[in-house]
Amino acid sequence: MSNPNQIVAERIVAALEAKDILLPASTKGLAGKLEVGRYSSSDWVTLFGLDDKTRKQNAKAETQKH
Amino acid sequence: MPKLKLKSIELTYFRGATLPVKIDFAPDKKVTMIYGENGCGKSSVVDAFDFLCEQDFGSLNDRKGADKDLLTSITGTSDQLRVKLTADVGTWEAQLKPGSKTIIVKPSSGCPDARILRRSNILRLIDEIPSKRFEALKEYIDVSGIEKCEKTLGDAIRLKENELASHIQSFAQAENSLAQMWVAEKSPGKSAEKWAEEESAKDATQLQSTSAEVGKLLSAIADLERLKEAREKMLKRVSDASSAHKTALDEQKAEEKKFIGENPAVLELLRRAREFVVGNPDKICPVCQQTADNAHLTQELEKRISAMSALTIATNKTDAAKRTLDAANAQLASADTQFIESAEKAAPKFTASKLPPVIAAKLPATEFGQIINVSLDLGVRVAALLKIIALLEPLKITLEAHRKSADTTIAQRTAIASQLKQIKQSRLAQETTTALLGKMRLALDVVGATRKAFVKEVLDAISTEVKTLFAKLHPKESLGNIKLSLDTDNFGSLHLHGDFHSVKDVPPQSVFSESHLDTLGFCVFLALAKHYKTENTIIILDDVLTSVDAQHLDRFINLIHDEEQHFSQIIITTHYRPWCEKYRHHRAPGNKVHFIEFRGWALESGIRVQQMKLCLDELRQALTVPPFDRQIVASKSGIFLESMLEFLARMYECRLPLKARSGYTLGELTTCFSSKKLLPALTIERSTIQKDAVGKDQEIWVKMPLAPLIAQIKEWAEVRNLVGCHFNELGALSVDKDVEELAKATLALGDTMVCPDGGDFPSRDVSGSYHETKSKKVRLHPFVEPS
Repeated sequence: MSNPNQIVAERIVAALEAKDILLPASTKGLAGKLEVGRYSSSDWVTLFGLDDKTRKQNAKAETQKH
Repeated sequence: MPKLKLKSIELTYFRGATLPVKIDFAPDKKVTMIYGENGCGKSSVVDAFDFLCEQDFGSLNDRKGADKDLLTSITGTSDQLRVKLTADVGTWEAQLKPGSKTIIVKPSSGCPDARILRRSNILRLIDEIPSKRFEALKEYIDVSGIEKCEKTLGDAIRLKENELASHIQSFAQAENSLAQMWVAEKSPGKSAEKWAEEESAKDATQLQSTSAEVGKLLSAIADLERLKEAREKMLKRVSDASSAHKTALDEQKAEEKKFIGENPAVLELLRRAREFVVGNPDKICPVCQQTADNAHLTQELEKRISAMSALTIATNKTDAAKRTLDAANAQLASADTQFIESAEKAAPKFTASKLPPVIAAKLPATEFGQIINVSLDLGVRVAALLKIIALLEPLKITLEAHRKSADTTIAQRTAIASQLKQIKQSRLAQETTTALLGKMRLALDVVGATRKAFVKEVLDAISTEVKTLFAKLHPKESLGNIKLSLDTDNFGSLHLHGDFHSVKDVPPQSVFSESHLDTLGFCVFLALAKHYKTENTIIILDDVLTSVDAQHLDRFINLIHDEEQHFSQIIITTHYRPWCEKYRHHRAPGNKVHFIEFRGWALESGIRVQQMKLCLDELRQALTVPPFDRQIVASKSGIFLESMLEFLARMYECRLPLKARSGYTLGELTTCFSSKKLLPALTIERSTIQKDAVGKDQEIWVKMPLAPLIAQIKEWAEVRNLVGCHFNELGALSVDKDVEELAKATLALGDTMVCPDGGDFPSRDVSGSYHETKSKKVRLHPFVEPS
């Protein structure tokens, strides 16, 4: 039987990516941590902070391409 | 698709297994029924599945105060305890970790997924408060890990909201401070921030340099003033010393006048003479050799010595005053030197300075020249310096004002720059935090919505399944429409609702009967198990039915066989004999079930297992397997005949005498088909597969009239009473051949009526034109007694 936490964690990650709230690069390993309930407040802040950094880097790389 | 096929389970010193016991399963039968009266060890086997498949202590967990040490049978030790499960895909063995309650299963993967329903689970599902009910279903819908993360995300949002508030406050404070400064400066430029940008961009180096130079000049002035003050103290000291010296000299001169003509060396002579006179009692003078009055002489000597001492004191005082004066003059000279040296160092600072206050002071260059000219007399240089110092006093005031102005400007620019920096930082932090908060809030919505949607999805799916299953058990009973829902305000509470006649959406426990609640609990369990099944899921129903009427038992049995396809195995344990007998007497598809009977448990023998057969198979075995027991064969034939004929009599509502006591004799049952139209019409139609001309399988229906079989039974029925029922002398006259004929006639009817696939009689009437077995391969005609 699939663990309900695992199912929901995977769905959450997919939804966050689909809604462009987080980039796929940032969600690596996120589902596993959500599943076991080990994602602290600071982890969330770091996650979005890192995602922001990744977005900026991506934007910069995109700009340099053109 | 279910794949796994169970072969056996072995219990060694586990619970009631005081001796090792092995229970074999029939891999070709999906349903296993373990029948046994209470206390035979059925729950031990169920617990063994829990122990191995779920690493759980099973029923011991459900009983408050149960001692988990009793997982081990009282004849064994915990290190001897073993449970071994063998299936077609592998073998697993479970034991306790030495010295602990940890369950170890080897291999750790691939083990069947056992879903166990005990009566205690049903009670928890139905009777308990919503939170306890949630606990019972927790493993299916528990998303506590997600909930924890959702909570920390909420906390993170609150944290960031507080941070944002702090950034807004800092921004407002900085903006307000800057605005005040701007207004104080008469609001120059387009805005306070624009003005601040311009002010911050201005170079402060010149102001800082001016402030530093002024600081050095003021420091030099302070040094000179300090040295000047020190010099003045020295001058005062010289003046005082000079006055003291003059006074001492005057006093010395006055004393000297008193002793004009006296040689001061006489004083020493007089002192020695006094010492001599006092030390020599001889009354002769050693100088004049005259007789002398010692006492008088001593007195006289004392007077003269005393008079000359005052002069000595005055002389000493003059000498001391002179020394003090000399020292003061030396110190003054040193102070002058220091004074000039300091001025030498300070002079270039003033002469080279382009500061407006210094230029305005117009300090005389001549005096500065004299100060630094070492060839000049020190006094001249000091005099020049003193002139300069007199001019430095007003310069000091103007310099301080000049420095203050520069410092104020620097401080203001620093404050402006600081507030501007704060505004920019706060603005950036606000933007960053607002963006972060936006994403986090969206994420929280996603997390919450996904969690709720999942739970709702599960509960909706389960509710739909429960409704379907419950409707199968209780068709046309005006109750059902069961729904499971989570308390939206109080996570961890599961509500159950259903309809009861005209009352909608009520808790079933308030309107349903106990047996309806039992079946509801079973339906919820089965729906969950079905929803989460894997290819290795086995269902174990541990004594879930205590009492149920025949109609509902039939539906319950049908439901189990309808659902067996979804699972690898269904294991039923029961002490409810009517359920077991339904199968044995072919009133249910017993061929689909593997029967195991547990005999009475004893400490010495442990769990005792024996195989159980259906009536038809039992009779066949009794007839064909030696030793031949005529009494058993006759008895079993009679009971089986009664069962078959009673089935037919009920099916066609045949006329039988009404008795105070239930049950009919074999004679009554063989003659009840007296209707001229029914007996000839009684026909069994069986489906068989035959090859057609081209070798293709073709279903053929073979008709088998029952009248000849019943006639044959009538012929031998008496043997049953003579041999298999009562003591009588006629019984002894019946030969074994008679008993064998009775059994053969019984088997002939049984083989005709019993479905070879399911093992049941054709009792279903769904077609509307004949009765049929569950497999639909055996039909009974007519549908009703012909009129």
